[in-house]
Amino acid sequence: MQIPYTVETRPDTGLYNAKLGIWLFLASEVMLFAGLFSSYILLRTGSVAWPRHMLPVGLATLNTAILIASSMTMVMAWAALRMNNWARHRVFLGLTVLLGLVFLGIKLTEYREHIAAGELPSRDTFFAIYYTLTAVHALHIVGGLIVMLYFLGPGSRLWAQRPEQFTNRIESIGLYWHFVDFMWIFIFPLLYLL
Amino acid sequence: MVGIAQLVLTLLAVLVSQVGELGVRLGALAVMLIAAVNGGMVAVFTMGIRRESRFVLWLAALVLVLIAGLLVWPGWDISQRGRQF
Repeated sequence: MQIPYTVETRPDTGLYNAKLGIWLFLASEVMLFAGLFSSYILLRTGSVAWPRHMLPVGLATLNTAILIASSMTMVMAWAALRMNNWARHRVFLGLTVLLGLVFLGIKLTEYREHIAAGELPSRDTFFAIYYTLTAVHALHIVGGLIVMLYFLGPGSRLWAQRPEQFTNRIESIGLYWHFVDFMWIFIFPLLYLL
Repeated sequence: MVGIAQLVLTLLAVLVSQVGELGVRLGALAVMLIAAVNGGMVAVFTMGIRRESRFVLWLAALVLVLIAGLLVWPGWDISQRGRQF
């Protein structure tokens, strides 16, 4: 028995199953990050003194550019499937994974430098919220990369069996990846620029 | 195009943050407004929130209302109780 609405849209929501699920999931994830932003605002406005310009802006700006680029390659990966170009899809999805790994590598470098300078979460409230926000975001990057690697690996078999459903799954992971970019667009200025 | 616009906005935010003449509060407001435009572009053009069904639009509107409350509440709370950290 075939599960309905894996490709065709539901009449009540106008979405297929995976897209409905991912949008609901993203809404819950936005609330998670909003709670963390709320904590940041509470801690910052409630403190007598708040350290500023403690973080490497140049490196973080580069990381922001890398994440934006990965969002674009993710769009290209999905668009290639829509045009039935399997090889091009693989290239762009692989590029997205690579850019995500570079982002994590730069983030780890930052963490290493902070730890070497004794700037641990226990040092002060600023570093506590910095590590919390960026680590939660980094974990989301890791989760997205795991899913993308699955679709580059064993998950890619679905393309031969049900190409439309596979395209929809790539669209769904694409939405998740853009959300990760969306969150970083706010985390970056909040921690690095203000 | 959207990616390039995002990069430009990011660099603009960095530039504004480095300029001291605006003052701390006005500078922070300017930086976050640029971030809001940047994020809005991701939501509208990259994620295609406007192209989706009405269900998604209502979900986005609901989330925006809840976020507004979550972000405004701490500042208001502190203004009532005073700085404690």
